[in-house]
Amino acid sequence: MPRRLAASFVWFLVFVSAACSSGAYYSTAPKGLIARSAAPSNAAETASLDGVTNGMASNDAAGARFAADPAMNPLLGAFFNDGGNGDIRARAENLYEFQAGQQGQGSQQGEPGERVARLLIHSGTVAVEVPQPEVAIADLLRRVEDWGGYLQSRAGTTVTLRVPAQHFDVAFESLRDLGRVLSQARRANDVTEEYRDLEIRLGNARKSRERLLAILEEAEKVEDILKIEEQLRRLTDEIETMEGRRRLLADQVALSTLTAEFRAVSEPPPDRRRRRPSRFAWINLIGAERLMEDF
Amino acid sequence: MRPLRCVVLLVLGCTMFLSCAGPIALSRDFVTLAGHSRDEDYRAVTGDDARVWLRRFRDPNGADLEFWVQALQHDFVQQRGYELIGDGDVRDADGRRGHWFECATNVDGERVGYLIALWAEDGDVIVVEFGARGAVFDARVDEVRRALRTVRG
Repeated sequence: MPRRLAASFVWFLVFVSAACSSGAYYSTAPKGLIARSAAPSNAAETASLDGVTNGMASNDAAGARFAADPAMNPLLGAFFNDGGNGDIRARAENLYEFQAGQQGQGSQQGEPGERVARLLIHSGTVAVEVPQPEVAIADLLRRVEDWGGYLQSRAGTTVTLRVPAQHFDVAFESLRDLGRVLSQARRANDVTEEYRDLEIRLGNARKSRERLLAILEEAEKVEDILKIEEQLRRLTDEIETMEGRRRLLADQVALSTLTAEFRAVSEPPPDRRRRRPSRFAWINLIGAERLMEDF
Repeated sequence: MRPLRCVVLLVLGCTMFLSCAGPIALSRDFVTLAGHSRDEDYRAVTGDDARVWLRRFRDPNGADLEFWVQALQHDFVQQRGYELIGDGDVRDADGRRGHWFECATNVDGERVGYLIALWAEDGDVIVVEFGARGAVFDARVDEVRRALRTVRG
């Protein structure tokens, strides 16, 4: 009897380890996800999730309804998007569907393996000396309006402008042509990765919310209902935060920020004659006056 | 014998070339004034009247660079009333350390930009001056400042 028991136990261990290594313990992702995630860099097979699942139960245990997609059952605790290689960290790359240029940068549908236009936030500051700052500011504002931009703020003779990104270079150069440039700086901040990541996270969050709403409709126990509603509130907050951030990025990419400070040309200093000559003869032979008059 | 002759000719050629070249390498916009191409008194000018003047003075006192930097700053700012825009160190073509000042002043009612660099060694003071009116100075000062690194002592 003990021998039979031991043999049964051994066979049981063999069965479990074989099942785990083959991946049959977890069902594969739906066809659509696999198709979208079939990037050259991702493995096509479903790898074992041992050590990565943080104790997640199998899809069967959670309910056959969501057996096809582990990411569709947020009640399991760990929410991940299995793009095929089981690596949670790779979900951003697995679901690569990126649209650039929603706000005027030029639209490109990101396909795996293709280059996508970068999203850059341009900003610049210029301090320029002009004969009449008020006239220069009025002229600049007229041009900004022609480009489709607007005045964001003004403090004295310093104006902050929002200019469509495609006109930023022209606007920056035109400021430099107005007068003597005292200082200038420009910067391009690449937010492509952040924007792409936001898009992916938003998509995942919205899907989860839809699933939760569907579960909520069928939930009967008060405890389950409360749990689902709490999850829904959290997800909704996250979605709103991410949408706000995405709108901000899109706005900043579409409209560059240009700060212009205008200063009136200062009167040249009055002629000042030296009070006494230098005791060193050669120093008396040099200087701006000598250079411009005795050259 | 032939290789030796070639080497000698090559060295002579280089020497002649270097002696013909000015004491500072300026852009093509600058024209060296006739009669002022020597290292002791070199003058060049552009079509828009930007001027470069390089001179070598004998200093019997043998003062060092730091002394002359202080003396010049006192003379320009305190005595002549120049507006000091900036200053800094510079090295010539032989790696010797010098100093430059950028100033602004008024000459005959016009704003003039003025850049001066000096080196002091072994009783010699080498002075390079660059001056031009307003916008001309602003347009050319960076290129002249770069050319200071080609000054030959």
